[in-house]
Amino acid sequence: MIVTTSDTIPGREIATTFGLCRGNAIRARHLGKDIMAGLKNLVGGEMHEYSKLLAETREQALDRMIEDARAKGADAIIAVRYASTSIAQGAAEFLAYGTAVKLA
Amino acid sequence: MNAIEPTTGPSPEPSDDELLAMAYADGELSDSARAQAAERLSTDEAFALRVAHYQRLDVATRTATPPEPADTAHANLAASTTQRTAITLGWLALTIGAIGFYAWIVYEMIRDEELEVLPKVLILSAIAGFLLLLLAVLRNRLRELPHDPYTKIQR
Repeated sequence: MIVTTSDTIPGREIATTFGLCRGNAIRARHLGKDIMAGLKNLVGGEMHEYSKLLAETREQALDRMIEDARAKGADAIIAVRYASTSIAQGAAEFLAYGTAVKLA
Repeated sequence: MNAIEPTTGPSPEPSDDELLAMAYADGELSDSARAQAAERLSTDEAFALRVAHYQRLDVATRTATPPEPADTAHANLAASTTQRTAITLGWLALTIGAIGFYAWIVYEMIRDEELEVLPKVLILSAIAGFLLLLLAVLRNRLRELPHDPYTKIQR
């Protein structure tokens, strides 16, 4: 599965467009990590607890988007974008979306 | 001309030559443009000095920027005995204090003779319900953990 942010794939032609494919995920760390991150808020520096949280959520949303595209019969996703929003305190939501296509 | 003179006052717009030298030093030229510029380096001393200046500037900029610490450095810091001991003791004290505090409040509430039986039962029921829900969520999380590959992702 080719996943790209560009609108085309150089050297390849698009045979079929299946339309939107998307995957989203919302994840949270446990209370202990939230407390440690809250303390880091006082002293500064990278909050590894939340860096990891965002990475986990991003990868899960990406995998779900790929799964959605695969279910549609696509073998590539073009024009991939990420969007994020805040649902709950200490939770991360990522939405990954793109256009599912089949290459010639 | 042996060096690029530093400019003072408001910076004028860079000339085409300066832009070309910057693009060459930054590796932003196409293959053909890069070949033409490389050929010019051997014949145009001013252009060659300008390119050398921007290359030195590029190196100096990267050197001045502190490198991002490696992940292993963070892991080593977190794994130090002092750090682990402080965190373990901190969590132990916090847990004992928090559980003890809430247990004491419940105990005092039960002992309170001025409070009627019904409010006591309702408050205890709410606490029991919360604990039951927490245990159910915790049990579910522990069961799904082996099937959650994303917990291994670091960043």
